[in-house]
Amino acid sequence: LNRLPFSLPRSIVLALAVFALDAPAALAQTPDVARYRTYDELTAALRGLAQANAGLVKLVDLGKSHEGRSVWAVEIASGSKADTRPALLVAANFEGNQVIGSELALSLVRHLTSSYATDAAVKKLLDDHAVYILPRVNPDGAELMFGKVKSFRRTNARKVDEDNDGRLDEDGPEDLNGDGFISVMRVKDPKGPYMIHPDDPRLLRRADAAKGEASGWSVYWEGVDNDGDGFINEDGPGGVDLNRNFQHRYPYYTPDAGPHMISEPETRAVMDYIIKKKNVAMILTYGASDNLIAPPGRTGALAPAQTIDLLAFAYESLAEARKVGTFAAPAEGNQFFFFGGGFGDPPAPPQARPPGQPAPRPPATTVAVADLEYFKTVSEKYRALTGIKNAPVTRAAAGAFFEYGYYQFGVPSFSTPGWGLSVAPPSPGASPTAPAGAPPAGAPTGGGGRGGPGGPGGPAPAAGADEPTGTAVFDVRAAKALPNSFIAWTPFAHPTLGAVEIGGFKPYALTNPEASEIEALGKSHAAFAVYLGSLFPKVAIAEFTTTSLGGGLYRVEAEVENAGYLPTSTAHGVTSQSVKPTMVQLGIAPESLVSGDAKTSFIPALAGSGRRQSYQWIVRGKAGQAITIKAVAEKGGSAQKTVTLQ
Amino acid sequence: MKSLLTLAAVVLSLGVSASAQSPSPARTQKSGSDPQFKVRLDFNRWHDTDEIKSDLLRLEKAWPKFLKYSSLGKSHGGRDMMLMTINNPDTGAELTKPAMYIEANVHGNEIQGAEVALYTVWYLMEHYDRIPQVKKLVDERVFYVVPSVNPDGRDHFLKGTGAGSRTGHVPVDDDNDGVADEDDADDLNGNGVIEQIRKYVPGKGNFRTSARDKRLMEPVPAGETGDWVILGQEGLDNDGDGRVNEDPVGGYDGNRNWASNWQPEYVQNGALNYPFQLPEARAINDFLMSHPNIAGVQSYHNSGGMILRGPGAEWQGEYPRADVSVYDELGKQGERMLPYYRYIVIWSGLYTVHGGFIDWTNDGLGMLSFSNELWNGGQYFNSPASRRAAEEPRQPDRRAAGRSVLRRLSGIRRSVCRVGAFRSPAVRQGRAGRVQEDAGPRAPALHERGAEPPQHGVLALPGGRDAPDEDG
Repeated sequence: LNRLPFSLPRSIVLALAVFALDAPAALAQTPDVARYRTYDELTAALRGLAQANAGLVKLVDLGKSHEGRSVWAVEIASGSKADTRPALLVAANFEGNQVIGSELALSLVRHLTSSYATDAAVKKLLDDHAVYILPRVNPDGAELMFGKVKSFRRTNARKVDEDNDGRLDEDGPEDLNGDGFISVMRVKDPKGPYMIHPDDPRLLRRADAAKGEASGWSVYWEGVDNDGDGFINEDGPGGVDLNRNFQHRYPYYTPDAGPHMISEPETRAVMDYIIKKKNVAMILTYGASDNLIAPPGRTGALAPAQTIDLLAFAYESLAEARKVGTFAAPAEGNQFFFFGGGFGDPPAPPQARPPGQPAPRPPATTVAVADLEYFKTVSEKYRALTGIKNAPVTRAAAGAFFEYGYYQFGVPSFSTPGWGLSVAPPSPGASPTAPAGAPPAGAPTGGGGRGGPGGPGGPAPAAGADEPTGTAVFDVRAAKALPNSFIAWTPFAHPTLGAVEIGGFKPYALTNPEASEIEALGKSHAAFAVYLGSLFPKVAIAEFTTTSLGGGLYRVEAEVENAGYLPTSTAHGVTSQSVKPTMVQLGIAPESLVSGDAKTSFIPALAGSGRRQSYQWIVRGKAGQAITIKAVAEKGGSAQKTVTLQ
Repeated sequence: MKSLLTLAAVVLSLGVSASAQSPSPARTQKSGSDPQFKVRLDFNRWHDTDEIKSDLLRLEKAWPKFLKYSSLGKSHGGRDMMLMTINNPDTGAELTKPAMYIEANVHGNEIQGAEVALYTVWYLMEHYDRIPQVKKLVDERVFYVVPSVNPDGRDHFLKGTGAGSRTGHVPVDDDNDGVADEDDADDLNGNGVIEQIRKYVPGKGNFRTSARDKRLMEPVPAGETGDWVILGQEGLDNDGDGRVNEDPVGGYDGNRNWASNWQPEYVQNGALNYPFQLPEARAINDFLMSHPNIAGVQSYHNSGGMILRGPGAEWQGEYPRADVSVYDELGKQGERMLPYYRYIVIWSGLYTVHGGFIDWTNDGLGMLSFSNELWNGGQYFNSPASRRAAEEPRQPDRRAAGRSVLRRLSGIRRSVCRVGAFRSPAVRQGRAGRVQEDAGPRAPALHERGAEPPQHGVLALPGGRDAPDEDG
């Protein structure tokens, strides 16, 4: 965690700041907020806001990306000791191609700073709480939006040998038709598994032989086979997908997930930051997954991700390349059939579980039943404030930061793409590959239900599937709802494939709204963030009294209250032990406690809206002696009160 | 493959040589049977990290062509993460040759591995010109040796009171009061050891002294009262919260901070917040990931006489058949070479480990990985039980072996519970871990409660005489 040089002598800081601001200051002043910003422009804007609102805004450098850009955190709070107050963390742009999130985060910084003096809700949020904003977690990835040739890439800048040939990034895509976009190539190919989509001839679909459908098309990323290994564009620049690199349901051994959890400087910077900010009581991310437009369902699983088949087909053309040089590659002449499926090396028989050894209990992968109502309430408010009813393209959430936020950090954690479509949702069952509300995965395999707050009557998740709810294919709706997002197919003579067509979805158009929408979205999302800031738990000492029992003995009674809306911990935060229980401590010497409750007690979770917990002690003391009680909630602030024995 | 097997076999055998070698080389030399050694190291005592470092530097000075000492970084407490590289430059650069990585002591109180690692370096160098197999190994392979993965814990164990030395020293708030490591055990009687406190409460206790040995305590049968209560670990309520010793130093397990099947705290106690959060784990992983030539891994622990392989957890599934056959071959070879050692799978033969080191090196890095639990009471105490164990038919029935170990462990756990005041350092951590279970509403994330390594009790039971017969 590299603080800006605030500890340096003031004059040097000012000199540095002025020097750094000199060139981009003009940009920060431009009235045009409705646009996407490069790293330099964003940095200048943040620096400008920090400087103009010194005392309220602190700009912190969490660490450097692979290419040396800073992952910024903007800490906004008034007064001192903000780190002891319940805080909202807003983080955005983990996916490099989800730049709208950065703009929404920047809008929030602007809103909080400009409305502090005039808006009572904002003032209360910054006086009683704190807001930490990470506008661009993947600065290297986001920068690609401003390059000459735009692609669908969402990874950071780590160099990865995707095809295991010992060389890094040697076969990237090319903009063959010179339109400024890396889109896809479709080519007539008797071996190709795809067919023209019956609902939209611009699109393709996997042909189902069982239904008598003819195939005959293949799909590739636009480009040539630079390294002559038979695969086209299988080892391009980058990278690791930062929203696949976190610890909850980390997708092991999948493309772009990185060598291991938290392998990247950017994700590590975020982790090192958040584990020091235990006062973060709620998380909001702007990213490609959603649990706000559609809240988790009855089982606690997310709505199906809405994915684009055409892009998935292009990725599929690279699947074999990733197996080259690994044991997963089909070895020639060395295969044999085995029962249980397929060719290759059969697995060894499993070890037996010794008698008496309990079955392992897997981590939870669905929202605890007791927490669902809170997610639903917040989701309703989100839709009301933003007017967004239909999600754009979304992703499954395995390895995403906001999932870490709930499942391991233990706080209410939300994600939204930050914009929506005006097209009505499809009728139920319209071509999703898995139905909504399909049984969630018990990851890792091994089964066993969560024994959490759902209790014996709660749902028992089944094991098996990779994603909790599957995906819904979104091509037709996206092409219809976003007419500017599709590049018409144009013929091209490819050096190795022959006659191909280049076209398909336009990079960034599926993941970001038109720039003209940014301003309105920024306003509504800032309002939503301020609303979130009104929900924090808040512990208070509602009652604290003493009664003399004679003989130097006193009865001390207290009631600890949660005056906020949220409980002091989510139900899952209790299960996962990730939220500290609320500590209630009587300020007396342990030996003068005669009976009653312990000197130090803990409440795992105290529900909000005025719920109370009572305590009673018999203590030995003297008239006139002052006794203090304190209650400390990691996510709900602290309170203390003093009474005098008499 | 053959050379790999040879390599592994020699490396496996080193463990035995080291522990069987005390009388030190200097003394055995007097018998006239051993050759003159170039460097004399002590193997009749434990070495703290400074001593290990100075020994490594002496070795480096004696064989500068082959040995290179370096540090992989600093531990949390600022100690060097010591690395010795053994490479013969005449046969090629390091990264061009397959390498064996040997480490030890990730649990601060499991100290023997560091001496074994030191011995390994010494042995390979002293015998380079004498034993053709050693020469072949050193010429064709590279060795990376990290004697202590947890130097802070090691020194705390050897120089401090030893309480809670399994963990490293990154502070953790075990008692949820917002302050970390503020209520450790205290050596009240100043004898250098954290012991238990018992209190005489005639007719009001739940413990009594053992009829077999008045020093030992045992719980009274249900319905009776005893004259003693056991208050727990020696110490004070340092933070004045009404509880004693509830937030000791550290509070995690350095062998749960690795990236394969890493699980959060509520699934795996002691895992911390994310893999490689610990500076020690990170330093080692950075080294491993930048050395793809490493093909074999040995991570020494104490104790119980086990040759462990992954997987650490049932839900990881069994390894591919081809891998299992290699592991089995080496493991069985190890059993033949190491008396009283059993070749078992971690989860089915010992206990479940999520995010353990050799899971990461096998699953994540593709390195053939063993973890030997060094030393077994059977080597020293030729009890009827251990004789029977030695005569028992060995593998291939791994399930039977696992059951037998479990039986043994559960017997030992019972016996440790009865014990009041051990002095042996070897038992400290077992006791500390157990006492801390009683500490607070959120049990300290120090050890996996059920999985606290009970086999350490073996060391503590003098001669095995007090140990219940494992079959009885």
